[in-house]
Amino acid sequence: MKKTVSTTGMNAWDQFWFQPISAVGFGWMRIGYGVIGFLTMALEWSRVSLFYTGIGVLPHEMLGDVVRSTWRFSLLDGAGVAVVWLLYILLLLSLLLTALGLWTRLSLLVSVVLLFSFHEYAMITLDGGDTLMRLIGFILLLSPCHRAMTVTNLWKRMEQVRATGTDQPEQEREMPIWPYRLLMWQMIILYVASSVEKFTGSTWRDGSAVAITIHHGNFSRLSAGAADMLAWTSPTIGWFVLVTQVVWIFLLIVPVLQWLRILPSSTQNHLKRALLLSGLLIHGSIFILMDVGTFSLTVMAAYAGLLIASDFEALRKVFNRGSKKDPVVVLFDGRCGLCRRSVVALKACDWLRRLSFANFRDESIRKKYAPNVSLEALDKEIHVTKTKGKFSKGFAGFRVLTKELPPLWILVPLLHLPGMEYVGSWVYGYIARNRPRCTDDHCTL
Amino acid sequence: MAAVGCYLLPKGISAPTDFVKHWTFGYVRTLSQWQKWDIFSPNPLRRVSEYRIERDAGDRWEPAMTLTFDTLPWWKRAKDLKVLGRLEENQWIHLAEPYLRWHCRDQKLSQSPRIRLVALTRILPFTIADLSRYSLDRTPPTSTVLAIVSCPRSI
Repeated sequence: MKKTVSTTGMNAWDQFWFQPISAVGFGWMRIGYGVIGFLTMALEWSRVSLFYTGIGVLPHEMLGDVVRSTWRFSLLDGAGVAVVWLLYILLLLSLLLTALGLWTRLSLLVSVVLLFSFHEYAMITLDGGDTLMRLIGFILLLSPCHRAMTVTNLWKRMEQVRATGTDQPEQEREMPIWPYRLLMWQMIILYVASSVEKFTGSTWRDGSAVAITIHHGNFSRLSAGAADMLAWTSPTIGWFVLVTQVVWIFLLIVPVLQWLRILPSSTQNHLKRALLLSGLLIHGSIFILMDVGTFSLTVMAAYAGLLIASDFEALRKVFNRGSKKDPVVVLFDGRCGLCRRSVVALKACDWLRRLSFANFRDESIRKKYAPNVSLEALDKEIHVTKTKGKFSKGFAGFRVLTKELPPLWILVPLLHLPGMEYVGSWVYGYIARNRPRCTDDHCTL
Repeated sequence: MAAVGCYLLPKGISAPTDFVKHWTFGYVRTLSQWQKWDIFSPNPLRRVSEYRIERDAGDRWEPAMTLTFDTLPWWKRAKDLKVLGRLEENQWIHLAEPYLRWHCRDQKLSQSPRIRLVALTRILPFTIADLSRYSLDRTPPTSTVLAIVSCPRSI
């Protein structure tokens, strides 16, 4: 009996910290951290010497007056202008590599150490977005966020498919749940602390806070007239913000009630999604109506880290509502390494899970999907089918794929410009004619 | 996260949190995990300032540069107005001089006489009814000289 209780306890402990979850959410957060960090820092190019060197706003001899003297480090303390510039370029490079997912652990470590250094030196420049950026950078550094959404991983998958013909199992793109929990607690602290601070003032409670912010000439994008027109919404929006922020504390309480079986097991996930949606609305509005730095964008990057497999599935359902149930079938040459690797690239872009892949070299598969198409025709150009028996071929097939793959949506209007069919077909034909020709064993150009 | 949470609480709130705070203070500070979430709170900032860098023209100060939401480029204004806003506060005001000296270099004002940083400040009212009648033109700003420097001859 004792043994059973201790085993159950151990299992619960193990599940609480190490239950595997998809690393895709953290992969997205890492990309957000890298891109936002890179853009924010790159835009300071013309003011590097003003903000970060001894000849700028903070001379080295005055450092002791404005920064704490203990428990602090910054590689910029006492550094000359040339060294600061070198570190700045290294920071930009590391943020870019972090976003791309190249040498991810190393680039993340370098970017976090340098970001800490730049922030600890130029504290006069910092806002909430910078603070959150530092915090999510630290959580990312602790987590195995390199397991998904990296160029390195995509390359590894392609190489594996080329060598063995089988794709990397999903489990290799998973991570233990503890970094997700850390991030969740960080966001709970952020929102609850923020709401407590707001309750101590009078303007949030009496409803004028939002009106003051939209009238503020130093950051509101609205004209005085437009701000006047929207001022009446201030009490409602203000209370919505307050309540939404307070409710984050329930993400700590609800799991306990679920564990005690007082609430159904899906409650926390539903609550989380509702809070993320409200947050998107609030931070999206702030981003549109006010220029207050990167806080809104950084929060959205953090939200990405709070998404797990079931959340992505729910998002897919929303996006796939109204689209046909049958997947789009892509017929590919299973003997050609380039084609197999292309399938991996397409799978990586298939966020809405709309594609299905069929190797036309397999007789039974070819009979199922393309009984009336010759092997030579299939070998000549890509065949994509949305309705059984009807094919889009070559460039037209590629155009169909761009509509199904979110990262390629940006190409859709371009590929439908007048004359693009002719140009696209010519380019596609050239590449197809010059792709490696394959036999059972090898490919030649 | 417990350490970060306790760090946010005011001192003396309870013995256990003070104990955690005492032992984790170094960790929170060294790893840049310090945080204070007072964005737009306890009340939103009501001080609206327009900043000017003015040049000494002998008998008067003539404007050399105006720094506002409308004059600064979009990629600069959030950060620059944040820094300028802080230079108005006691904690940072002594950095206004180095800020101006940097402008001496940036604007190549080596032969120029003195320059100064001025904040023209208005305070937004508390209530919605007053806000809707609020007009920048109707309320005269308070002018504060944040710093005056002479640009060095050799830059």
